[in-house]
Amino acid sequence: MKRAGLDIGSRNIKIVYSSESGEFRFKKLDTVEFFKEYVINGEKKFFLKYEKLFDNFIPEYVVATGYGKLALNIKTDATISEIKAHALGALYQTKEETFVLVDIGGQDTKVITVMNGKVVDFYMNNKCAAGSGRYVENMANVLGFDIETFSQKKDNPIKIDSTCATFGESEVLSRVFEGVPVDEIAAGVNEAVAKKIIPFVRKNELKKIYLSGGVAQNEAVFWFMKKFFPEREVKIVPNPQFNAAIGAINYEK
Amino acid sequence: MKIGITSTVPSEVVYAAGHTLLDLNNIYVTAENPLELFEEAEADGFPSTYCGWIKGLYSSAIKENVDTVIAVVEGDCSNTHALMELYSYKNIKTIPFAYPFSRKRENLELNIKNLMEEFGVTENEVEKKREEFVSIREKLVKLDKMTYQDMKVSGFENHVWLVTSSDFNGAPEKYERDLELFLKNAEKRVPETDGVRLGYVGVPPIFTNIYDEIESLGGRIVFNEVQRQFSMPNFKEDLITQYLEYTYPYDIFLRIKDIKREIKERNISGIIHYVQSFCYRSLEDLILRKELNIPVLTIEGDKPVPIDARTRIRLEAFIEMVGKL
Repeated sequence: MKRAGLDIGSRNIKIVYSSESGEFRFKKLDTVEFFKEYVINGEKKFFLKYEKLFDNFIPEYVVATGYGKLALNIKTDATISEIKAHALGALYQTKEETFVLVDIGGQDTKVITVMNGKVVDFYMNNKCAAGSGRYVENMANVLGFDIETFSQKKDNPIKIDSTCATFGESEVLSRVFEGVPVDEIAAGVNEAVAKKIIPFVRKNELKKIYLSGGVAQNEAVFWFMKKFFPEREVKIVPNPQFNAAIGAINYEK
Repeated sequence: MKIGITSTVPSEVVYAAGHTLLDLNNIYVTAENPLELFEEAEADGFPSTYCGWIKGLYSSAIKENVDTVIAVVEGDCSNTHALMELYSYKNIKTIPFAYPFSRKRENLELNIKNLMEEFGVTENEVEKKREEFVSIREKLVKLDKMTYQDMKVSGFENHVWLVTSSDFNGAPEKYERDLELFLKNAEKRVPETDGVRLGYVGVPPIFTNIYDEIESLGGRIVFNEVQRQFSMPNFKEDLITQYLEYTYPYDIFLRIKDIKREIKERNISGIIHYVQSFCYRSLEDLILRKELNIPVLTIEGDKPVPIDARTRIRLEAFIEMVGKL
């Protein structure tokens, strides 16, 4: 069966679709662009412009997840929670049964404990988007870095107190005014993002930690995570940004 | 006279004196537009980093034109002292009432006696009221059993009846008649046994639709911890014992003992712990999570609005997870 998984995130829409042979194709769209270009506003529900969205590859089964899946009321065959989608995605991609998955997305951070193939515990930030992808993006902007360069900064990190996506800016700026090199501030931001995760990962002693989400591609955050958990195996799931969409495509009702 | 309360107090005393009791929390959330009351307090200068309940209590007392407010200064909210001062500033008389943190019988007895003195009622008159209320409290126990045993009363209905037992909606006789009628009708219902059995612990929610949302996600609330406490489920002995057995105003360990017993009794698979933004009680979440040996989801609310998308996602994932365990 031709299938598709949609992860409607706060910054990007991640799409995975597959033919009967099971080969995945990936597509990433900006959330605002997605709504402008790929959605038709019906009376009660939104409908997707399938042909355009899936490049004329019309799926027979569509599963949605992500922040926007209900608020946007898109017509699909099933919707699943992001926690479930991430767990399914990581189970499929890593072939492991027991692990901790740390997903740092645009405005959410999730730490999911999977044991013997089942979600047994999860943490997800409440209202505050501190330490999320949006924070990293904002701080890179303030310091004048592109995101790729920023995500390599890990040497001599200064201590950052606030990982708030909004208030973090004033702290970073005051460090600039104090004359601290921007590279060290950037390293401090990356370290603070990883540090914020520590208490949630420490809740159990599972050996394997996987990272997913946009921030998993931040090399420095990955490096700091390995530094903070030397006795554990820290890895990045394949296709980290598409992990939830891959979980969605693998979901069976 | 209309007597407002900031939290549950020995209502027997106020009713024995012939006054009307109004729980300002209930007035607030059942108002036509509770958000307006919240915003009125902020317009008067309440900072956004203060508890949404305090804001509602402030505006509700003014709106309801209450003569006097009994303010629970120990065993409830840490901001109540300042709230009393704000009431005084607005020319509302305040009477402090304290549940002693020590939970010593003689201390509580003294505080209740002071309250009786304030209202000019005798011990006998209060005892008579207590006996009168026994039949209401018995019916509330029945309602609770119909929620978790017979499965004929929903978690939301359970919440509403128990939460309003703090003041019996200002009219105990009418409350009892309405409750009787409700139970009679509910008995005729077909039991609804579907859903993941959940307990709700913590102060009553400020969210306007949380019970509906939990049910739509496949959860079923079979225990409302603090609301049940408001109904004084341990009413069998004397007035002082009744208010000593009331767990909410004392320490978290007493509450945990009660919660653990009910988890077992009601066969509960997961706990939703509600905390109010900026409330000192959210610190107790640390102990609660460690002490309860079943999954706990902590959710936080600020103002009287429907739940936000992220809280919904967390509830959805939690119910999904607990259902699968």
